[in-house]
Amino acid sequence: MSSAESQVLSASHFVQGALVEGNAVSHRSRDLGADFTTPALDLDAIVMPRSQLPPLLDVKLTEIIDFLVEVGERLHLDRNPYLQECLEYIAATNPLPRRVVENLYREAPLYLGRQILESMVESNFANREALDGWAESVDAYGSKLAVRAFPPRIVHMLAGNAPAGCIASIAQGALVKAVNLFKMPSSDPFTTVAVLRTMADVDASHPVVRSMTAVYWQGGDESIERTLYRPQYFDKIVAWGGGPAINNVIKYLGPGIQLVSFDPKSSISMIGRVWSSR
Amino acid sequence: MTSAVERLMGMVGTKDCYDVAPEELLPLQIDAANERLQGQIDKVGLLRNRADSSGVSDIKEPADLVPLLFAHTAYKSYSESWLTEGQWDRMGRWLNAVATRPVDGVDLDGVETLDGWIKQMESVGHYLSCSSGTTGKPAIMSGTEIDIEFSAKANAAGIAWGLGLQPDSDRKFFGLGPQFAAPRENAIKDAMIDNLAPDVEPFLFGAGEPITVGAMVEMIVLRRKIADGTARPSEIAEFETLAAKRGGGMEDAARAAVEALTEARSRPIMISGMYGQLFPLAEGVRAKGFSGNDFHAENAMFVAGGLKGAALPEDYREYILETFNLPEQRLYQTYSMREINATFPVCSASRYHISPWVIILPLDVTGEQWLDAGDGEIEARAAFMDLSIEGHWGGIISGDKVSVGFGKCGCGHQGPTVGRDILRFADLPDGDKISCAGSIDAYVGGVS
Repeated sequence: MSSAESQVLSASHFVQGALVEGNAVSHRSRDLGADFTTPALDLDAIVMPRSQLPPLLDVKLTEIIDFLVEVGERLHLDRNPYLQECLEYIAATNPLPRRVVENLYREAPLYLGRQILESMVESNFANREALDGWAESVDAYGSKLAVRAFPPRIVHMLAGNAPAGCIASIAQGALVKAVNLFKMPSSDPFTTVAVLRTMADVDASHPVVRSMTAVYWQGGDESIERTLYRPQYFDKIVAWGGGPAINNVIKYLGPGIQLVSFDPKSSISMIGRVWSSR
Repeated sequence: MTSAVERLMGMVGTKDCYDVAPEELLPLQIDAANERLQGQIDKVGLLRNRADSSGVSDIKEPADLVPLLFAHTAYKSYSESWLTEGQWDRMGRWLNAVATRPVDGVDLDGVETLDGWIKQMESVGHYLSCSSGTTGKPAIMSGTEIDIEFSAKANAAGIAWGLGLQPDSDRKFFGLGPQFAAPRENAIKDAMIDNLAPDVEPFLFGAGEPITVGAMVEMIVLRRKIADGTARPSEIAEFETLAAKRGGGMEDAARAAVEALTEARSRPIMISGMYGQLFPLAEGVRAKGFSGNDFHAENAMFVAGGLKGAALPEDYREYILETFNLPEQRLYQTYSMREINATFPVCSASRYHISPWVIILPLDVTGEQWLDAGDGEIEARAAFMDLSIEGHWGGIISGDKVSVGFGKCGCGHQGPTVGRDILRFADLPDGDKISCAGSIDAYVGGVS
């Protein structure tokens, strides 16, 4: 990343444990129209072929949680040079006020606290044993069943409106032992790489780190998405975003590739008497 | 003295070449088959193998040819990885077993692509003809200069016979199918122009570079890699870019073709193409407000191949014919296959007429027994001995289920004919159970 304001911002990529720098491609951020550059996208490098087993396949959940907790401890803004650097750059691309981004960054370690990670597992999986091996059960008819979760290959389309949200996605991807490709938003092409660099500083060869890739391309770029969004490469697209972004992904869905959508929802807020009387 | 082969090949283009009684022609054909056998047995390894294992060294009657026939799969019996990984020396050794000319002295230095190898092979006298292999790997056959020239001549003569066309100084040729960069296809196209529309500048549908065999094979290979999940993202991206570029070029080319067709509406035209491509052009012509009444009454059309997967409305054929003012009898259709030089023109009674330089051999389902049809009609697996072929052995067992007749055709001509309805064994519920395929694969596969 470059710091001089006169220079064009440079966003790096992170590919399975390795930082990839470069400014081969120029982009303009969607919200604030800021110019930034990224390295050229090497499609072969960012897709782990199915002939290669997911690095986390045989890593125990407790070991993954231990590792994430250790990373979380290094995500304190005051001590983390990568996040500090990000905070400077993100002002150019993200509509959120710097103060808000800073507050969000200060919460970064909380996403990887042991308690929150454990509760994430408990609240999502009826039997956590299935994440580590064959979990046996007997159904209502007396048939014996054994279930084991197999690591999925996931594209995470990250949202730009919550710069620290990527940490939750990283945690979720690691807990299900997925092979992860994070597609960063134009309003924040920095934070995910900063978090993953912090992770690589703990142990660059750790299976969690080798399961993580974060890159930027302009959302909707058919030449890239038509190539990547195929069942031979990915099982799921986890999409955070507005209507147009979700609609754009839907056209690539089919047998073998599904959408996990965190899309706009209809919601209401109830304001109680206590607040209205203030 | 003129050889039997030369006498048969000399019949191409003659007026009565599709009107000779089978029994009258057979002795000459048997002589020619023996000439070919003697000329090729020490050159084509697979032919020597077939002759040795069957004990046939002399042909006295059609049935003697059966053990010497190659399965249609013989020309695909190379290992696909040699092709995709560019192991040209191995491809050369394989081809040597099924080609008349020896494969040696080929400079493979710097040859990286299939197109590059094909070009090098041409420099040593092997003109390779490749089937499009839309679903599987392509068949590859070696031909000589004479094969190319004869294929072209026979095709043009077939059209002239089938449609009763003479060269017309006013006729314009429209090549509206995909343009291939292959010597055989070029020669066939040139001969059609020379024989039917020699004086008017032809229109050739083109979106830039003609399609090379290598480009076609690369596409087939990539499709399969995508299906079995081994294609790398960069390969897909590259293919998508190329496809988009070609698609864009196609639109411009289609506009130009519609323009040229409407401009030529007052003169006789000869259209050559495939239904899938002709239909949108016909739509384009209609969209400009032109149709049958505006086009010349002596137009003719040559359609090669079936629909090749194109999804068209049910009346696509009538729509195309009506647009260009083409009555049914001006539509030329032919039965052929890449493995042979000959094309069999359809007659007014809707039957394909077998050329005199070809012995048609009706076989049983397995391709092992010759079936005697007498002078009647019989359902059979089609096999051919194309006596005009120089570059490889002319005896081939096809994958086609046909109805062969040896009596006089309804159109009044003599000679063997094949009924209009041709089925592929591979499309039938039992599949293609050709029996000698295995032994051929084992023989040819052993070249590594």
